[in-house]
Amino acid sequence: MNRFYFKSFAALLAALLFFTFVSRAADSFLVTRVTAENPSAKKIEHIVTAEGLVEKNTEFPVLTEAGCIVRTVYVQEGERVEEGQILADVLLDELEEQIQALRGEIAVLKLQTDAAETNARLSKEARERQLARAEEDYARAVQEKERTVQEAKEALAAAERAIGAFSADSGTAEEGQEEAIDVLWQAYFEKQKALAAAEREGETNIEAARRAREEAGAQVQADNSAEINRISAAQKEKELAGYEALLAADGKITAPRSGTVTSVCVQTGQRTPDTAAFAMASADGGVRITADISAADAAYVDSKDAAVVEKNGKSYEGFTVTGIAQAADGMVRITVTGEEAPEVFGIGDGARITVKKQSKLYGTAVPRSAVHTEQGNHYVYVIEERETVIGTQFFTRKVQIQILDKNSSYAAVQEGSLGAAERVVTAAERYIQAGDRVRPETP
Amino acid sequence: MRKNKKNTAGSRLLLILRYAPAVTAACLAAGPVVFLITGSLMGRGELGEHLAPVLFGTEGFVTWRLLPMYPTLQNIVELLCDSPEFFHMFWNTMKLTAGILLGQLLCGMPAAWGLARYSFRGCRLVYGLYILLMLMPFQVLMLPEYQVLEKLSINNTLWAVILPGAFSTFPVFLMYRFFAEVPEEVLEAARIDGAGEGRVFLYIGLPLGRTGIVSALLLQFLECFGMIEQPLAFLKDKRLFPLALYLPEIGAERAGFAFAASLVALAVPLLLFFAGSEYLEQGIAASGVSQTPVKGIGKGAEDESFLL
Amino acid sequence: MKKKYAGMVFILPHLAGVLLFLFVPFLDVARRSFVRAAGGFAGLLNYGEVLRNEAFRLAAGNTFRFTAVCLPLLMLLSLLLALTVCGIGSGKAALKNCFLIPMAIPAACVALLWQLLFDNHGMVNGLLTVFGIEPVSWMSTGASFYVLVGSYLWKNAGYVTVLWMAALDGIPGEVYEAARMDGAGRAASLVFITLPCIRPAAFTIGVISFLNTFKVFREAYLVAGSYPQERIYLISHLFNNWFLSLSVDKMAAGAVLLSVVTGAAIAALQRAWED
Repeated sequence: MNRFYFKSFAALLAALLFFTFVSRAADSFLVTRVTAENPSAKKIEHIVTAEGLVEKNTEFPVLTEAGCIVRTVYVQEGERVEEGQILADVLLDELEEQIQALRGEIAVLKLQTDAAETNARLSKEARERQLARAEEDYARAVQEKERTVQEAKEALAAAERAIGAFSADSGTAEEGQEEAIDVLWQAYFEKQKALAAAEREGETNIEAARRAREEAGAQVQADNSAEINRISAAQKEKELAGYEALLAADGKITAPRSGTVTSVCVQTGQRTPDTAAFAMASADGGVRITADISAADAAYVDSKDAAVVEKNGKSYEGFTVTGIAQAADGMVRITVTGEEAPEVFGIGDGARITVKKQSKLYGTAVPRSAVHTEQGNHYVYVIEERETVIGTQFFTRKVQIQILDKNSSYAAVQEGSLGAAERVVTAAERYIQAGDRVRPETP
Repeated sequence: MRKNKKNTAGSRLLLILRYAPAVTAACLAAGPVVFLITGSLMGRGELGEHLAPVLFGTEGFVTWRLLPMYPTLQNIVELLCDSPEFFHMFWNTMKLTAGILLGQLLCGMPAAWGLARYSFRGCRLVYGLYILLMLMPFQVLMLPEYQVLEKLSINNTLWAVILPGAFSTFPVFLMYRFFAEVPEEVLEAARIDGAGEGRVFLYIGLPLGRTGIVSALLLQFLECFGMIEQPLAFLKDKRLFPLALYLPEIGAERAGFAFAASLVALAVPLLLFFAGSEYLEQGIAASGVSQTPVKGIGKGAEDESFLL
Repeated sequence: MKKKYAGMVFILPHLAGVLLFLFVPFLDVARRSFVRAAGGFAGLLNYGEVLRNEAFRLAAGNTFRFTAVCLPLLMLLSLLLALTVCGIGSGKAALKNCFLIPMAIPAACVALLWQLLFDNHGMVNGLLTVFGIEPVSWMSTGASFYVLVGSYLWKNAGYVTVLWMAALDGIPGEVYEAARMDGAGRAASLVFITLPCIRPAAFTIGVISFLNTFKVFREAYLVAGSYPQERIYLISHLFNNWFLSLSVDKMAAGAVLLSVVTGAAIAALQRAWED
């Protein structure tokens, strides 16, 4: 063998083997490693947190009877009172006078009611009688008409017969007979007129009777002023009861529950208003906390959503969103109310409100890191397997998606754009584009 | 008849005339390789310029330059470092070649020996059969071979090309001629010394017949590298394609790369060919071409100037 | 191992393979040629169909024309070349190596180059215009035949030249000496010594080259595809297309015809040579 050429041949084969590895190494170096996941079914959870302020705890009004003259006010604003503690009292004399007046009013009302009732009953009877008579008249008118019409018809028929008989008797017309026929015909026409007249008259009478009957019927209406009086009387009775109770309590206005007086609406010598005499903040009522959140976050907060409040490191459950309103700067003020022990929550304290909202179950959701945005369009990269001459290789493919809902870790995608078995690229060791070769890490 | 006056103008002219045809022929033969070499050293831009009429249909004709204006190693680098597919195909070809050559060595060699040295019943029949099958073009047997392979479930694998190729009869024929030339006395001597037939074959037949073996293997190597019909018919999976089917798929847009790949693809058989060319000549000479099959016996008609 | 059975043992593995992969298919082809594709004996029906088939006629005609043109051309040209080379003093080895190059190059490597040469805007046409000749549309007219011939000659001429050279070397030099002493001139030695001596070689070379004409399908396929221009549509193309369309019966009949013709041609050649 020619040594030189054979050596070259062997060297060439060796070099080719070497470069086989070099090219494979270079190839895998250029391939980007990526991590990928399948889309999953997820509920998107939105968590809105805001720093809030504890506002007034739930207030309640202290009511009393209106129109009494206040004698003494015993409490001031901000004062803490116990249940049953006396807040104010009223002049008893005034109170008694008011009671009497009320009683009188009630009596008057009662008498009025009685009178009205009697009147109603009498007039009703009268009306009924009238109605009955009108009915009779109507019936008679109808009968009358029938009778007269009947008579007129019979007369007419007789005249007709006469003419007929006359014609049948004499065949030829003679002078004297012509006159006789004329007379008969005239009689016939008169009888016809009489029939029409009878009908007309009869109708008119019937009409009159009918109208009379309607009028009589229309008037049989109830009169409800009695009912009105009765209701007023009942109201006044209730008022009376209130005043009597106050009298029984010696005219003292007491706190229905323990709490803090937040406003005093009565003064010595003034009459009690028909609105609240005092406003109190309940001691063991609820807590009200307000916070401002952005409009974007506000989309995820609805009335009656559950909220958790954190203060001093402790979390308190059981709060509910009770108010959502526009605030300044496009922010939205939400109010959460709860039944928690208020010792922790003093008015004006800070607290953190957290509202968690879980959306409905979305069939296709991908991690946020998989979503890329370009000019308002969202897309993800999906891994595609392709058979090439040197085996199975993986490439990226761009898929446009519509985002239905998202939070900071997941985005829910419109059904149909991503299959459940497709692998979506969630992270890549460097920038990738559509069509790049990639190597997915097996988790 | 040597010319006496070597320094006259006439003799110089004669010299040129003598060499001219051969040199021209040699240039024509080697020309394409030169093309491939220069082409593979040209970058995309330069190639685009030359090949524009074919690539883009512009006016004019394809031009070429013997020395590239801006030589670059870009294509070589791309071939060697950036093309795992090329190497995949190359090793496919090597696998095919190795498989077929191994088959020839293991089965063909003993067969040639058997035909040459022993006459057993039916050996003339077998000989005739081998000749007949050697003469058949591939297309004749294409379809039934396909079905045999199908039955063996090796279709669309490399075995589909290796097995039929390993039992090709032409190499057997070539080796047969050389084995036939071994003097029987040498074998007899060995048998008398107590060697069995196997030993006779291995220790005497093989060394003496090595010319034939090498030339047969060489020719077969060449055939394997260039094989197209069999892989085309029996291999459907592109991953199994040999180089000969991969190269044509590189289009003219990547001409530089294609040239570089072709260069490497032809360098392998070519180097081997050169390495074994003397065996080849002897081998071919022995297959009935020459009357003195073993070189050295009798002075041949070399240096005879027949025409000029 | 008994000597008697040794031969069979040596040949058995190979023979088994040959039978399985080559002979059995061959028999199967022969069988199928008498059977319809859907089943059922058909006698010579398939043969008739094949012989009437237009594509077959075209392919057979083309192949025959190609062989008839190429073989003599190749053998003659290479013989001439070998004769001139034999007179060269030095550099023969290098020349031989060069001649062998085309044979060693896989067809796939030069396919692209062939396309660039023979394209309508290719280099050959460019060269022609330089000499003022009209460019030829090589691949889409009858000129494709000459492209194929050229391709075949390029690939095989060098190799055949080397074969001729080996054959020429085989002629003992003494014969020429003797002839010269008898006063024979150059031409006489050529005609009466050289040519007869290389006659047996010519047969072998002819057979080898004939087998290689089928291999020209490779270049044709790589450059022009499965359905090239009419004039270069060869039997190999036809069979390949029939294979792809699974026209089993036609293929079988055609294959038998082909093998018969090939065998007959070679047998006739052999007899002609032997006389």
